Amino acid sequence: MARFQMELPTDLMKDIETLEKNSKKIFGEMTKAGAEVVEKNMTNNAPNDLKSHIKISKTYDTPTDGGVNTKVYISGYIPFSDPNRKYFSRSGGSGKTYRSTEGVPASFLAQLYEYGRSTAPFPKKPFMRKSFRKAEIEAAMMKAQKEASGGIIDE
Amino acid sequence: MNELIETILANFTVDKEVIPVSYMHYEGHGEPYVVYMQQDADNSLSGDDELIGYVDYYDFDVYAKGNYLNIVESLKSILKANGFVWQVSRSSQDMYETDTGYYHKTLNFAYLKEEN
Repeated sequence: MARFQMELPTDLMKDIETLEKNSKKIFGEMTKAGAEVVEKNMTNNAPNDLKSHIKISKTYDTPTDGGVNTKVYISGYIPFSDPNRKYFSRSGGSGKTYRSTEGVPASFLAQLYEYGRSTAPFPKKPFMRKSFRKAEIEAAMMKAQKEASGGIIDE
Repeated sequence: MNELIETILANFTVDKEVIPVSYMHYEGHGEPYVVYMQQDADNSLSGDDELIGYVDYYDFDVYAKGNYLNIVESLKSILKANGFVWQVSRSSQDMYETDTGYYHKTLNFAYLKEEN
């Protein structure tokens, strides 16, 4: 019976080994690059009182699916504009009441800007969803992939 | 665009009740209603360094103090029949305002437009 045997070039073997060893790092850099684009867009689009509350997380593992992730999130509180105001409260989904004395949670305010509400003392000003520009995010991730892989993966 | 939406949703009726539809803002008195506004726009198609087509994204906010699911389904149905494409990831979760008693859901739709 005819037989065929082929040996992979050493360079290619080394590249594959490098990619295998560094896959988590490469994926991590990619998610970080994508998140940085979203963070930048969100900060540009957000109302002034929320700009400084937009943050980016550390890159972390997600054990349930064996992946890595980097989050953009909104944290902190907006101080009460009325000096006599003592606390902010709202009902949670489970019927519990959430109360804060530090100010209005920035994440709550962000949702009001994004989706509005019926009484609208507050103009609806969506800024989060429009910050996820797919082409821009993908381009940043591809660039990070090339850099993190030492140029082994290009596109 | 607003004219098109107003035409499509003129006399928007769900379960024999006419649902008011208004641009940006509605002064209600407890009845269910829908407000709409442009949420975003994005380049879609270019040629010879010119914009040929783009996508308009519109939010339709449904407010109701009772069961609003039929309104949501009717709205989706009538807009889809008129060339709008429902954007699941741009639509909101179900929301509830404890102080007013209004349920609220934001539905987002895309509409492809040609640049003349």
